[in-house]
Amino acid sequence: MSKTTIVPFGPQHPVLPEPIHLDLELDDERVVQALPSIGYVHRGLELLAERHNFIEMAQVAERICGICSFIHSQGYCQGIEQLLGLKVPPRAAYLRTMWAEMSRIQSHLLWLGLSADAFGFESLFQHSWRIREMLVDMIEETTGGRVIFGTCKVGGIRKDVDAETLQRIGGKIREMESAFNEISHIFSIDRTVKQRTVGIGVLTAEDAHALGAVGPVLRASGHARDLRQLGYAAYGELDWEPIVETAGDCYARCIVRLREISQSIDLIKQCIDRMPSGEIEVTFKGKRPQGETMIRLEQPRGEVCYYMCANGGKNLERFRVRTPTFANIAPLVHMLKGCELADVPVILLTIDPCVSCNER
Amino acid sequence: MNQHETFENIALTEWVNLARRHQAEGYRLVQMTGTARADYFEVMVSFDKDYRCANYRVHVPRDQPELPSLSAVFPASFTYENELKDLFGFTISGLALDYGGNFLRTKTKIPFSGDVTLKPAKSKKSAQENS
Amino acid sequence: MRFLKKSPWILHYAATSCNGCDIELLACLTPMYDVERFGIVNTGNPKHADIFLVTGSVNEESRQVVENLYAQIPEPKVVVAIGACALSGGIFRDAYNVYGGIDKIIPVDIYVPGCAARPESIIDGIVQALEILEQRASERKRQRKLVAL
Repeated sequence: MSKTTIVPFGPQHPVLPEPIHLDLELDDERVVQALPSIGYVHRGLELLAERHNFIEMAQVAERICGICSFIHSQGYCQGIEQLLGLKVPPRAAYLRTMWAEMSRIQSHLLWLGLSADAFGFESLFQHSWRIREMLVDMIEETTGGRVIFGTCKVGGIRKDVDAETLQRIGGKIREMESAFNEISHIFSIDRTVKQRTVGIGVLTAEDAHALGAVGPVLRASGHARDLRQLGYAAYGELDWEPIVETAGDCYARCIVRLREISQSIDLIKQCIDRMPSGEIEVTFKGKRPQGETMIRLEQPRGEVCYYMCANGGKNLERFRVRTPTFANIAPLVHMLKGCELADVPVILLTIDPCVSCNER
Repeated sequence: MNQHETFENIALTEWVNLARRHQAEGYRLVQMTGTARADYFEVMVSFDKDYRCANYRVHVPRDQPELPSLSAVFPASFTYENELKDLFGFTISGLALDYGGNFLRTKTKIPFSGDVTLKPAKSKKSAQENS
Repeated sequence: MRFLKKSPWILHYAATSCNGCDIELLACLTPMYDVERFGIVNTGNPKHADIFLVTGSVNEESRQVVENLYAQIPEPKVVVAIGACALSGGIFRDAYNVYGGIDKIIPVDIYVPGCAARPESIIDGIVQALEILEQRASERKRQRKLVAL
């Protein structure tokens, strides 16, 4: 029995854009145990619901995280709409779906770049961010913001997109698709990528279920579980299937995300083609949320839950967010056990940690 | 847009048995959360199977915030339980991986207990704004 | 110290940022904005850095980290606070775990506003930081000469 060493990983680390801290207990180069500790980004924004009224809170919800920003405000607004008994007009639902998918693509491309950087594949990092800029341009053209969209509000959306712009976006997304297919091909066949990812950090289907993994981590382990199948917003009317891989290793998680980008591009095209006309919001003058609800959505990183409890006042009584990264901590700790120290950044990145979501 | 949510109140003694039953039926732990009510803490747990979410609540007395751990049933519950411990000041018995109150280190201890709210210095001003 | 103006290295730390400003900062390093053409390189090591970029406000945990990182950057150094949260606490200023802007902990030279700050304004902030860096460098040089005399 050799002596173990504890190596701290983070909070400030070259592969991490965000602070998370891991204590890695090592036996030579092998990780015996990994203990994550968080709190570097904890702001306590759930309590801000006491300060901001339920309409303003959508802005706070959007800033839970700058990467999945739109989906956070969408989830919050869906919850309030459920409490108020509102039904969003179809055009608003389709535009929400379109923006949510744009948000997903930019998040996955961002992740793709960061993980390429973690493998030491710098040029792939630059290329995926170049393509991401094409998408961010489309976001800016339709919403006005680059990362914080600010277009979702209780009862609908804040800003309509005219037919001409939609058509232009349709053209641009095709352009982006061909550029993306190029790097997607490189990513899936490259030897360097495969050497760093195949067979690393395997999460079996049973473990993924038992540990409560969500999102691409769960789908890479063979579970076809995507919360968009609940059919919220316009997902019930669009044609798509959850993407599943079975290997459960880092490579499978990469492939799931790559295929999801293609799927999201397809969903955006469908949204543009089938975009209904009409109102973009419903009014709810004087109504106050009452009761409680649990809303679940699929974020780029997996299932997010919002629990809201209101008692007819201006402010919510309790606002609770359970983000996908929080659910993926337990699988992460499990995967890190027994891996090599050099693989830690790769495994950590393939769960796509979003620390500011995680800690709220 | 019904997300099939059901909320059910259960007794504290049923807490672990409930989890065990759901685990055997193939449910997955979705989340655990606490809410500070006026005279008790409410802890909610959600299980999910085939996109259907079942939520259960227990009432925990304020003067004795104790909860048996689910980590023997659902290993993933340790994150939620440590969070309950740090934010609400719960004592979780039988916790598999106990951070000893250092999972989420905050400026004010147990901020969600209902006694601590937002920054006191500014609360006056906003109270005027709200009224 | 002329080389500083030509190739300043930056260190980035996300204090309690929501990621919005962080990804905009990373976007500055990638082909569309490409600050590397100015010789600006993102480094993970505080001891190699000249400019310290902080996003997000300060909370209990990140407070120490920010102080440590600031102390480890060799003189002359410039601090740039990016985004509304780093300036004042932003939308989270009322939250119980947030102290407020970065300037409560370390001296800040340049403030870049925005939620999220746009890459153009971040680049602008860094370019302004370069001037301050240059001034500090020449000031140090002057003082060294005085000591030598």
